[in-house]
Amino acid sequence: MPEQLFRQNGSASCSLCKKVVHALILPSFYKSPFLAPPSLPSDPPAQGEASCFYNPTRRATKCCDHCGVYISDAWAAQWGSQTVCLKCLEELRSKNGNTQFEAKRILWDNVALIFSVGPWLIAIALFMTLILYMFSPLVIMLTTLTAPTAIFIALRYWNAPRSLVPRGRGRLVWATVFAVLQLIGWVALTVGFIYAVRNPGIFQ
Amino acid sequence: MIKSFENYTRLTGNHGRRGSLWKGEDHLLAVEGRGIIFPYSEHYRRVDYKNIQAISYVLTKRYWLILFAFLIPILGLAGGAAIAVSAENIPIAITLGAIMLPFIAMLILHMVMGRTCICTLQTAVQSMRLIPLTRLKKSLPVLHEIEALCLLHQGGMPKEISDAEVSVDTAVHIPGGKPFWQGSRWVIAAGVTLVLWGAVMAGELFVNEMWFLVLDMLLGASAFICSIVSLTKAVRHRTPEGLMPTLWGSLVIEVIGGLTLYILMIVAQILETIAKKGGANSFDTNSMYSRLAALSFEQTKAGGWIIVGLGGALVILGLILISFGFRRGPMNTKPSSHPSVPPAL
Repeated sequence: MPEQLFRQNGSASCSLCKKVVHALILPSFYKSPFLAPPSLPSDPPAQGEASCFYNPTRRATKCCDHCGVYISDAWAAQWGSQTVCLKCLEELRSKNGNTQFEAKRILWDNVALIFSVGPWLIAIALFMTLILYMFSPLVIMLTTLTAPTAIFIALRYWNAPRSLVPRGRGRLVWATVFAVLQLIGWVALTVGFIYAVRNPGIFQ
Repeated sequence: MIKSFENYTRLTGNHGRRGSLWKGEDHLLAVEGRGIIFPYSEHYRRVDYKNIQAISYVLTKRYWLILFAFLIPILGLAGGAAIAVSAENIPIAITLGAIMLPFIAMLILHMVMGRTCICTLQTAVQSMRLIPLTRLKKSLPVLHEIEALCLLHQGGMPKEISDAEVSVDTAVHIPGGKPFWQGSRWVIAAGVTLVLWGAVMAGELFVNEMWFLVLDMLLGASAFICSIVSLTKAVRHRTPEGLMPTLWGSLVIEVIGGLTLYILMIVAQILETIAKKGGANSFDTNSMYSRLAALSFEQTKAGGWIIVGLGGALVILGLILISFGFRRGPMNTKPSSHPSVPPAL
């Protein structure tokens, strides 16, 4: 939608879906991204000038804040207040450790928790359908596999970084406690079953 | 959830699947969770305040969908409770009332939270949806805070832009717009069948013949098909004000009309079975149709008035649709200029 539509009262109706879109246009919209293009390959370094580490035909204009090599505008990226070369940027984004650059994290505490409570949630959902309730016990039997898995994940990733937004080990603790309780329940059930088989008269 | 960490201050959101928004010194951090029930991974997106070109929001229909999703069971349970009270079956009425309470609580909570919306940030290279912002009441303060931060980092609006006169003919120059409505034979057909069906439906209880019931059903099916085709035609055009609500309204009334006839058919069968007092309960299709055809206005009481009312509503909607079917909009004109690009400074 043309930005002029929003300059009168900040809202306009989409011609396709008819929905009213409210938009706040900011000064950056009017600043051309082509005002400062990167130096071209036809701009080689003069005698005594530094050349780009990645492309020697370009003149170096910046220095990578992480690896320290000289880089041209085309190989530099501005990341907040830092200037980094594209190779460093890729490494920093893909590897954990630097919270300023990190792009993704696996939340192992939530993974452990779903292994611990997931089968029960599915069993309840199946039971509530009133049609597939007979599958609930089968799903609950899956806890013989998921509970040890939950304990393994919780212990394996006990010290691993959790969310970027700091939080405690509460989920790991709950996952472990619930999984241990399930295992205790299974052990008790097995012992009781064996005891009942060996003592047939116990229920009489 | 903590309010701040490192250099970030929380704007909104939590550890759930929708994630959270954090205000940094020079950038906005969006934490997005991915997963079912719980988020199993988090993705972090950072946008510099100086690069944000626009902040937008659109109200969505999800508010009304959720509202009806709560209202329908509440009305159903309330109706059941009312029937139980009239039958002096108080324990069932209390049970239904207890089941209704959580729905009422959730409905009130939903209404207090306000309208639903989708909020988006636009930069020169991406359009990023702000997933944690789903309610307008909560979103507006956050959007205004982001706007203030962006203005702080970007400076003021260029003078030539703020002084420029705005004159855009929104009806013609929007690139990618739909063609104007030029009338439709399908809409006329839908209108005509609706008028006929409305008249037949209103007279259904006064003409106790089988052929009249067959005519009623045939017209109903034709009107329904024509309405659906008309709706598919209409959504491809820039329709005149009121056409879409009329088409949707007629579809809803058609469904209600069909359901009412079906309920009357079941009720007529049940009444017949009760009248026989212990006779064989024959729910075969032929006898059900013949009983519906033989049903008179006096027998149906309030149901009869509903049928007549629905018939009248269908006639009115049909007449409105016929008028829309003949209506012609302005001729389509191609945009004279290319899609807008940011002006060079």
